[in-house]
Amino acid sequence: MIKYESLNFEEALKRIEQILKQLENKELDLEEAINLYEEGLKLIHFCEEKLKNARTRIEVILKDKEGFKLESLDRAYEILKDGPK
Amino acid sequence: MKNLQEISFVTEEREKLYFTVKEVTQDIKTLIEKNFSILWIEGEIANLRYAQNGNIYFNLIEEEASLKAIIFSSQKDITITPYLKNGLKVLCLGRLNFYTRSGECYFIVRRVEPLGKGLLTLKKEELIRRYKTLFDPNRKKSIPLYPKRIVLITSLFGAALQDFLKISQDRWELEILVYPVRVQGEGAEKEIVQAVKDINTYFSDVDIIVITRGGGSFEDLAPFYTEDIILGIKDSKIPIVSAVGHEIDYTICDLIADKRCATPTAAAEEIIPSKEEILYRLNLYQKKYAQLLEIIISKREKNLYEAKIELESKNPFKMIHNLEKKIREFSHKLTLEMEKYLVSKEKELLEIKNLLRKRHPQEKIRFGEERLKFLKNRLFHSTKTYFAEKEKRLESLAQLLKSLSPLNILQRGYSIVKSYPKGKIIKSAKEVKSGELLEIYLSKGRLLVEVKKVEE
Repeated sequence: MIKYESLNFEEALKRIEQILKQLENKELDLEEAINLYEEGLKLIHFCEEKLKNARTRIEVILKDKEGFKLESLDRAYEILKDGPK
Repeated sequence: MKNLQEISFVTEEREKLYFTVKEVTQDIKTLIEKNFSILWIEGEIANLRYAQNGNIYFNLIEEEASLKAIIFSSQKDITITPYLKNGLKVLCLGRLNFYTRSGECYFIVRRVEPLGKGLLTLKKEELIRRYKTLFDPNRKKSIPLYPKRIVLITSLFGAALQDFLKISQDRWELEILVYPVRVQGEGAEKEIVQAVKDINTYFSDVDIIVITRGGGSFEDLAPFYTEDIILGIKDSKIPIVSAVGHEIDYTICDLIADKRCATPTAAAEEIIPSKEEILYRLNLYQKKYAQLLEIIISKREKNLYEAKIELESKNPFKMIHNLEKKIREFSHKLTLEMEKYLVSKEKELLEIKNLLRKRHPQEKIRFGEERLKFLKNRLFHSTKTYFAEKEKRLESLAQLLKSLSPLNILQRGYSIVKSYPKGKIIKSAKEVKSGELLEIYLSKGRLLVEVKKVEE
C-alpha cells in the first residue's frame, strides 16, 4: 500500500487515473477490483484534503550586492517604488 | 533634316564652342547638389551588395527608374541595415551626390525606414530565419502540469503582474516568486536575460519561468524582438512560458519560449491548475470508480449465474435422466418404425401370397382334372349319341336294304340268271350261247340248267 506522507499530489493524481484505467478492464479479478477501488477512494480523499488547504504564496526576489533576498510583495513595492522597475 | 543641315552649317561656319569634361561634370555636380539638399526618397531596394569596407550599395528602383544608393559604413543605422533585402520597399533620407570622377550620381543614405511591414516585423523575420533551428517545436520543453514553484519575470508595477496574481489567487498550492525587471525601454531585454540566468543558477528548483508583460506599442515591445532574448532563453533548463504583448502578434520571445500564452491572465489560467477543476474531476473519478466496480461486480454475478446454470446442466442425475428420456424416445420410435416396417412387409407378403396362390399348380391340376372330366363326359356322350345315331341309321338302312333285297323280288316270282361258274348276272339272251350252263336263283332254292336254244 502507498505511504501517504511521502506521496505528492501529482503522483497521487496519476495513480488515481491509473486506477480508473485499471478498473475499466471488465475482466479484472473481483478482489483486485475492490482493492483498487478502496485505494482509489483513499487517494481521492488525500488529494481533496490537500486541495482544500491549497494556498498561493507570493514573494519577490530582490537582488543586491550580497545576493538574493525574498521579500513580501508590499515590502518590495516599498523598496522599489523609488526606482520603478 | 533641314534643321540638321542648318546646324551643321552653323557649326562649320562658326568657331567651335565647347566644354571640357571636367567643366561639364563640375556643372552637373553643382546643379544636382544645390538643387537637392537633404531629401526623402521612396523606392524598392534592388541589386543590394555589401562591400568589403563595410559600405552598402544598392539601387533604389521604381518601375523604369533607378537610382544608385550608398550607405557608408560610418553612417550605418545598425538597427535596420541587417534587415535590408532586395525587393524591400523603403523610405530613405539622404542627399544626392554626383561623382565627377565616374560621372555617376549617387544617393547617400543616412536613414532607412521600411515601408509596409515595419521594422519589428523585419527584425522578427530576420531573426526567425537566422535561428530557425531554435524554433523547432521538438526543442520545446514540456510544461509541468502541477507546478509547486514558479517565477514571474515582469515589472513589479505593471498590469501584467496584477492580472496574473488575480487569477492565481489560491488557485493551487503554489509559491509564486516575482523577479522584477523592466519590460520596456533600452536594455530591458538584458535584464530579462539576466533574470532567466539567475533563476536557472540560483533557483533551479523552480518548475516554470513566466516572462510576461501587457500589450503596448511596437516600440514598447522592442526588447522582446531581440537577438539577446533568443540567446538568453534558448538554454534555460527551466521551461519558459512567454505571455508578452497583445493576443494577435507573436513576439520573438513568444516563439523561442517553450509555451506561449496570449495574455498574462491566460498564462495564469493555463499554467496553474485550478483546484476547483481538479476537485470536480476527483468527484467525477469517484463516481466513475463506483460505476466501474458496479460493472465488474455485476459481470461477476452474471458469470456466477451462468456457471450455476452450466453446472446444473451437467448434473449427472439430470444427464442420466435426459439420456433415459432419449433412450425411451428412441425405443418408442424404433418400435413405431419396426411396426410400420412389418405392416408394410406383411402387406407385401400377402400380395405375393395371393399372386402365388393364383399361380399354384394344384389349381391348374384341379382345373385340368375338371376339364378332363368335362371332356370325358362329353366324349362319352358324344360316342353314345354317335353310336345311337349310327345304329338308328343302320336300322333304317337295314330296313331299306331289306325292302330293296332281290330276294323280295324273287318271292314275287322273279328269278336271277347267272353264268355258271362265273356267276355273272345275265340280262340279255345274247350273253348266252346254246349249251352253256346257267344258275337260276329262285325265291326258294336254285336250279342248274342247260341252254337248249337261244332266241333273240
